[in-house]
Amino acid sequence: MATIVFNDGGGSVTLDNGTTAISSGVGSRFADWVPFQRPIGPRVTAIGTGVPYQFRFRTDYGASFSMTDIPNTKMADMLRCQAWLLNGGGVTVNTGDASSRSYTTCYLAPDGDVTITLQDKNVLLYSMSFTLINSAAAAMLCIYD
Amino acid sequence: MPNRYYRLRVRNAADTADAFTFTSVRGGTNPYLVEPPSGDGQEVDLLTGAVRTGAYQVRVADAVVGTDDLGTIRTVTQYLYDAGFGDLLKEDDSGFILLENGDNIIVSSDYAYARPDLLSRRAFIEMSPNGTDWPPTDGAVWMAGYITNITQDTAISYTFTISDSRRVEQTQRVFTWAKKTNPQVGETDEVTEFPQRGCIFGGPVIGGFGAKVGSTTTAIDSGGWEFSYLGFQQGIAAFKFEAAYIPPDYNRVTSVPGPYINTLWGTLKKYFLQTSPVKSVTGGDFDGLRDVGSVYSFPDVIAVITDPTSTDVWRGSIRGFLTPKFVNLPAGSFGASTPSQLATTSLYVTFDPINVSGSSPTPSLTVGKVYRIRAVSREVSPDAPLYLDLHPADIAAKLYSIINIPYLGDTNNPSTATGSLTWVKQQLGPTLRLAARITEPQLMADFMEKALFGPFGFAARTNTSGIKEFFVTRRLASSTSVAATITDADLRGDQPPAIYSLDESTAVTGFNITQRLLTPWIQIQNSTEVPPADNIVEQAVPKEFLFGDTTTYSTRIISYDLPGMVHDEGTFQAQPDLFGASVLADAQWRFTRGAPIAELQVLGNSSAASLQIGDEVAVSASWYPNRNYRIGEAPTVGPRAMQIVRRDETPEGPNFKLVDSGLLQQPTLSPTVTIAASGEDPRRRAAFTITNAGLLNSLGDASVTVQYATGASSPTEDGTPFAAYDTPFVPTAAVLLPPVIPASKVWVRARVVQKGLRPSAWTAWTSVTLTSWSAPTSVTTDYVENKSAQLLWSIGTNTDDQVEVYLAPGSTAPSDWTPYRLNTLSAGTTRTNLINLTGSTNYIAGVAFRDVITNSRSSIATATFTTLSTSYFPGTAAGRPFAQFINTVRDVRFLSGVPIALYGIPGRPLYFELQRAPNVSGSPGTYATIARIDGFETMYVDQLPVDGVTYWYRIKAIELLVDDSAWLTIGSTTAGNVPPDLIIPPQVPPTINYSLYLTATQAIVSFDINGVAGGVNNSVNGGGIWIGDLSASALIFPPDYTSSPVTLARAVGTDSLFTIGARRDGFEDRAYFTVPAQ
Repeated sequence: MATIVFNDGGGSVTLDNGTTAISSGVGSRFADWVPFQRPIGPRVTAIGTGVPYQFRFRTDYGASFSMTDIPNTKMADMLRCQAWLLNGGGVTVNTGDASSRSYTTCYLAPDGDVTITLQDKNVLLYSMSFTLINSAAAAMLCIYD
Repeated sequence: MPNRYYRLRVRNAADTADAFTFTSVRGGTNPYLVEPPSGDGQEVDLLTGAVRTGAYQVRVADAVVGTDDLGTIRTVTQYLYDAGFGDLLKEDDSGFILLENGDNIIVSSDYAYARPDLLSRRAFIEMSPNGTDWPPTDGAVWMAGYITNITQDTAISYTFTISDSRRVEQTQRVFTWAKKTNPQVGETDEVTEFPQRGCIFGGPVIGGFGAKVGSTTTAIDSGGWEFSYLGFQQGIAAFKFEAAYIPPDYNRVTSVPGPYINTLWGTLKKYFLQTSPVKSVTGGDFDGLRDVGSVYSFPDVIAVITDPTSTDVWRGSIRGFLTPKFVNLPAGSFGASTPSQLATTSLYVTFDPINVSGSSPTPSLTVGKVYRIRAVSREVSPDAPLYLDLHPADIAAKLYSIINIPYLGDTNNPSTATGSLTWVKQQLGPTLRLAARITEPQLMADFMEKALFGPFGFAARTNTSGIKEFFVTRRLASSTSVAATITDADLRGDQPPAIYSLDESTAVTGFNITQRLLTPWIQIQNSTEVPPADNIVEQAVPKEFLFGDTTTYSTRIISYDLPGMVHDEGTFQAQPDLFGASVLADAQWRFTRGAPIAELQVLGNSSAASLQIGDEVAVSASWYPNRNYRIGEAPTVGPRAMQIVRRDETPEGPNFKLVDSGLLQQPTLSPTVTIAASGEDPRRRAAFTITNAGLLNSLGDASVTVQYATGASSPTEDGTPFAAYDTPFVPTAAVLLPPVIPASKVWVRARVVQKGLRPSAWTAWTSVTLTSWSAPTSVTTDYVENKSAQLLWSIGTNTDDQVEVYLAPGSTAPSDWTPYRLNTLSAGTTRTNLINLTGSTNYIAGVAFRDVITNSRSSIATATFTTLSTSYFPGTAAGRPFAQFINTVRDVRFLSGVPIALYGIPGRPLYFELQRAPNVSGSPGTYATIARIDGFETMYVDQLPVDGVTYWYRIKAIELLVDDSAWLTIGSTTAGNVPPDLIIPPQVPPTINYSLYLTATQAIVSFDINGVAGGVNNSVNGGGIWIGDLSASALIFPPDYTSSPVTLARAVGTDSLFTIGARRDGFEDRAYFTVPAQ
């Protein structure tokens, strides 16, 4: 039951790929989940020792992932989701993993992107790729069984 | 990031409505903006107060939006030129070119004569979050200013540059005293905003200058010289001299001494222009402008004419003054005038057009009425400087008003918010005053920075409505709280610019502050030095203030050169050291070792995004250093106070440049203060005690600052800085405050300033009322005559203060007694004689004490009286003069004209008035005055008569205090054919000498006339004395009494005033003496 929920002012939207009924199926999961945890701030390296020195403004906790197998009937929701994130909006990421992890304050990561790709032109399935951060300052884990 | 929409809004020429707008809003009106606006915002230099002009550019596509019968219409191009002239103008703009039939030539719509129409238009660059709501509802104003540039940067687009109004200040000359408007209808210009001018005559200073005290200690306003109005012809008004007020005392005189006339000439000659006579004016009142070889003109000297009985004012250039009558001068020459020249010639003033309506002056003047006239150079000059004595912020506000730049705090934009005029005056100290003497026009921006913004530490920014807001650039220590904050959450960007920068160029190691102390000119005993026209002496006092560790750092001295002196409203005493210390107080902590600078990029939706240049903010960015820690790594060091000096707009939010202004913490101790009247001088001075001085002295690197104020109620703003005591030298005993106006209520408060900390809060104001001070009482008059009266009063027990006497016409006290001061008398005086009065006239006399220490005046006690129509006594006419023709046949020096020998009582006549009449059938026709001649002259030559024509002459004497003598007909004569022998032998005028011998009850008066005891008793010509008792208004000895001595009774308890007169041969002499009471 991997979903992305948001409200862009035009009403609440739950974006999924329509396979949530098969709760344990592959289609109901996010694909390519790659978490990251980066200190943000300037870093310099001492030329004599090579030791890096970092001043951390904050730490970004995020992940890049994809939602696949989205039918073309969800095209409007995909566009709204993309515009909302690019415009600075926040979304809730429900991973549907073993611990039902949910991240309610996710935003586009610095230098991140959200894209829509035609996955299967025969059956008109799309996939969306995200690079988001969790502003709640907690690691974005997603552990499927 | 939220949405950002932009628009350029351009107003019409009258700034009454939008002329057009361009936006970035899809579907909006004219959505032709090509890219977001960009540019630089305002930046202030804290040390000079100079505010850099902000300027933003916005590009607009020049799209095709239609066509008309001439061609294609594009979005921008269509607005570039105005509609053109409907008619063809002549090249010199003197009128229209007409067709043969007289019709105008109507220009077709090809706009051949159109001119660019958009420069200097009011314009706004604005941002909206939704494209619907704009400022002030929502969004932000990026720039409120004027179109300063339009460039067609590509073939399809234009770039508009919008900048603020500061360009006006860069080109505007101020202190020209240019008269642009009509004060009669309430408009303002420099004449109305800065009315105090030093006068070439009639001053010394219009409105007075400095503390309003006696003539020996300040520049008073004598009210102007007295001239009676004669008439008005062809835009020119004629005036006749009546009385002057001249230095050093500026007491009223009806005869101006020769040396002063020479001084006056010394000034006037710089403006002198010899002009042709005006032959078209008529009548005797204008003969000095018509019947002369040339006219002494002073076109760059203006006469300011006031009516002492109303608020009416007239101005005009001096068309003729001191022009000798009936004398043809060589071209380009003029010479020193004599007192008679002032008395016998008229003043002619060409009224400014604003004071002329048709062929009459407006407002109208009354013939024969006495007006007060002052002369000033048309433009401010060293001869007639411009004076001002105002709060520095008020000076800036007035200058803005004059050039029509609106500011917060004026009548159209009242505000008590930060940045307003009221607020900045409170920050600087409401009683702060700059007393300045401006001797030449100056560029407004230069003056503002060098004389106001720099030394006093304030400036003016342009707010989002395009209105000037005042703010403080230094002296932040007067504020103990900083409400605005910038935290990490308010900042944007993961790669921010340098947050901490310390550059050597920001270090200041000292200040050089020059004040110009303005003091009254003082007569040195036996000196022949001539006083300056305005009676004020300027003394430059440079003071250098160096910080202690100068030698370890680079040297940078900031120089401030003030055009006058800084003083407190209540004292008019400059204290250069104290003012210097106040400048240093903030600078020492902020600039001595350099000023840390930060650049912070703030989020557009942050509360800090509304901050403007000059605002102070508590910065707690976690990586910003405070002392030797970073704020985020040592929670106890807390935030750092910083002041915004630059603000640049970006779509993401403003970028700030800030200068460090210290810590936010305050000292741990506050002072406690009491106040009482001083034992030494309880009338003028209070003394305060810092009761916890001992405890305060334990603080390190601290000082206790004390302010005081006067007023009936607790001050609501800052008081006058009095002292700053460094620890451990805070006095434990009572400290005397400066003298103040007696009986004032004096307030005092204090606070602690400690190194690196913000000051403690001020203590509450505490007060004491000083011992009261009364005015003289029982003001009465006695011996009221037709031309004189005696004024008496009681001083009670006050024998310390000088006594000032005032006299004004009418029976109602004037709102301002200053111009009516007659004299300042020594302490203890209880009576004086009022002279030069007019018969049958109401007067109101005033008497007040003058406190020379505080330069203050008590309230004025008054008495009214009416002069008699005629005198009680004989002998009130001037001594009749004698004159005779001189035989020109026997004197080769006189080849033409009629020479006349003059005889007057020695030392008596002020001048002779000589009249001439044509011969009509052996009798005189109508007499007309041809000259007024100084009383000490012995001969006058009438050059005009043509040989062979007979004229009649007559003469009279004019003296002070008394009526004119009767006319003496000299007779008739023919130029070149004067009778060879004298007809009437010269006679002997009397000179009376008397002496007084007192017994217990009597006064024995011995007298002689011309050295003959007992005088003469000439039955033919008359002779002898008369004595009048002025106290009893009675004639005691009749005229022609000759038996010397005479005995008078001494009154009991009261002194008596007598007058003694001598008569002989139609001449008279007169003296006064007092017989003390027995």
